[in-house]
Amino acid sequence: MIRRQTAERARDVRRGVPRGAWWRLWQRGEGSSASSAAPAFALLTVLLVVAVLLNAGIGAVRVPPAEVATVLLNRVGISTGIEVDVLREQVVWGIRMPRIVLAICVGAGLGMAGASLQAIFRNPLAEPGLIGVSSGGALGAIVLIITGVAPLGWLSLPLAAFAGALLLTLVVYGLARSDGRTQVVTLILTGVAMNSIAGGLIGLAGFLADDAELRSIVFWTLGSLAGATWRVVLPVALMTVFGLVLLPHARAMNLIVLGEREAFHLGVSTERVRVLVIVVSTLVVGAGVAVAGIVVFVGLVVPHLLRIVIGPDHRVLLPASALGGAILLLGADLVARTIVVPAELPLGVVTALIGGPYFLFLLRRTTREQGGWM
Amino acid sequence: MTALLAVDGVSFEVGQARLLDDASFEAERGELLAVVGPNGAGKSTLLRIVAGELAPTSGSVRIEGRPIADMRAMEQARLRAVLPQQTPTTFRFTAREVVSFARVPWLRTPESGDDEAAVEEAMRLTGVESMATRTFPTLSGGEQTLVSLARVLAQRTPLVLLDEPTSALDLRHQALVMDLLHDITARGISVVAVLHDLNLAATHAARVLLLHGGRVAAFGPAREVLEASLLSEVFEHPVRVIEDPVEGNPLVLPERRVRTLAG
Repeated sequence: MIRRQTAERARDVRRGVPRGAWWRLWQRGEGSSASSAAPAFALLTVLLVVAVLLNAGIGAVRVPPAEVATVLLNRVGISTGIEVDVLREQVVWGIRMPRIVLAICVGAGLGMAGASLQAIFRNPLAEPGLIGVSSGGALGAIVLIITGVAPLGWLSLPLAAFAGALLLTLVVYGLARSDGRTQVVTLILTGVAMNSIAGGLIGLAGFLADDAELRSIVFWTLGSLAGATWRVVLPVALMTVFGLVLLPHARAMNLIVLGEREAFHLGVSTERVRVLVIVVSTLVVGAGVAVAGIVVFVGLVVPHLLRIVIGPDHRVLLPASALGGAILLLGADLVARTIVVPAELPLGVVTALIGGPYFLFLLRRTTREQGGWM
Repeated sequence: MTALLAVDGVSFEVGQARLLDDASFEAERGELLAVVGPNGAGKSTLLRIVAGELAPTSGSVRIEGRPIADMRAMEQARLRAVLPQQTPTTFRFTAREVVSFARVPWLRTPESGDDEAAVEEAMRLTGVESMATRTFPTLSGGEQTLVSLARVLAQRTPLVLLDEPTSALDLRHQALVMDLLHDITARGISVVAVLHDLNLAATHAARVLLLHGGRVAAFGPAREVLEASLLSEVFEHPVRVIEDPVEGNPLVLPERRVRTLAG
């Protein structure tokens, strides 16, 4: 399918037809895009299943896909007749699955939040980190690490990170708001300023920290899924499910993308949708940051990648970005924990080193052929 | 019967500046009303107030007798469609998708049954069917204006506001758009358009609203409003008004202040 698509694109470029037009026609017919984006969703779902099987199977203990499937099916009471030994089952269910679920939740949250934020800011550079949620989370965690207090036991660290994420976003939004409205440019610049302040404080913490603390700081600033256990993953999963409240607002996002004034004249209050998206994104991404630290690039890149394939309709783009974010993070985590065995690379190193060059490649190709990016 | 649009004593102040001062006018059903005036006269401010984007400091705007201040955005969107000066989106929606957005205010109403027909008809009237599958950012400025105009028509509202709809268009497309406006006013739709080109206003508008320094300098039939001494004063530049030998409508020509040697 990919090859066919590429061939068609090449032909379109030669004929001067905007690239993607035929692919869309083929994919959507003339009908509504929501129902006929089915092939893209089918592909994303298959990729997600493959990614889960690979992540659950690959590692120090190898578990073949059939056994992984058996472990998962046994959990929901379906028997496959395949025997899996106890150790392998423990590895799959007790160690790898929490990490997989965390990757799916964090990735889906970042993807969906990124697509929504790019829409409400009408800006291709918007991503969850911009509104302060990522650096705020890291800062909250690092303050706790440096001061060494833990009033709530194991919950202290994720809660401090979550609180930091909410607090810094609140500060950014509060500073950017005037007369009951937010100017997009003001909000983005406020975000940039607060992020650099947070970055400075994190740097200061690194300067003051001892070796062990420094390792923890790196964990928070470059992200890692190594801390995943069922008890920390479940709250994150609940929050990610809560993030689905963004989906009914996809149509409003389409109109906002067309223009703030245009949206108003079509009956949509941009400011209301904007507040909703910022609040929900902060909660969803904040929950992920609280457990996994800062994961760069996913929220920025995934919506862009998917827009190229399925177009900018948010009714399709939002769920696709959730799936795409989950797949990308599963892939990145697989690389992070297998490439320098027995050590683990920080997740942010992998997402940035793979995502960055690929993003540049796409950016150049799309602007050259299409004259526009989004 | 009340006028479709009634603007009553509207003023708008920002800080010390009074951008609009006690402006009143009304638009009847099926009327093409042109708003003209020099730069800074308050044309765009007035249009934005009628469009509900700005709240007037005092005065009221009523559509079908109801103050827009009391209506939710969605109710207003079913009465009034607006074409801003330009739609700057960089997202790659197709022209057809952009036009179909016009049907959002009619979601979950009986009118949503007309969605397809409204979109098709609007695209046919504006002649943008051939661009249906092209993405909006790849269209030229003039094509984007036509697609946006199609979107405004597909909204099927009794009132349409246009902010300089012809400024990005060449001669042929200007004529096409103005003819189109005649067609839609013939169906009983009221069009209020800010026009920079006095001659377009003179040729096509039933009535002309001339603004000067935030005040209504004149409001009435084009022949009465577009008068040489008044225009010369408002635009601070001498003009001649002659009669179009074919159509009979007034034509406004600016005088050359400095004659060249040859002249």
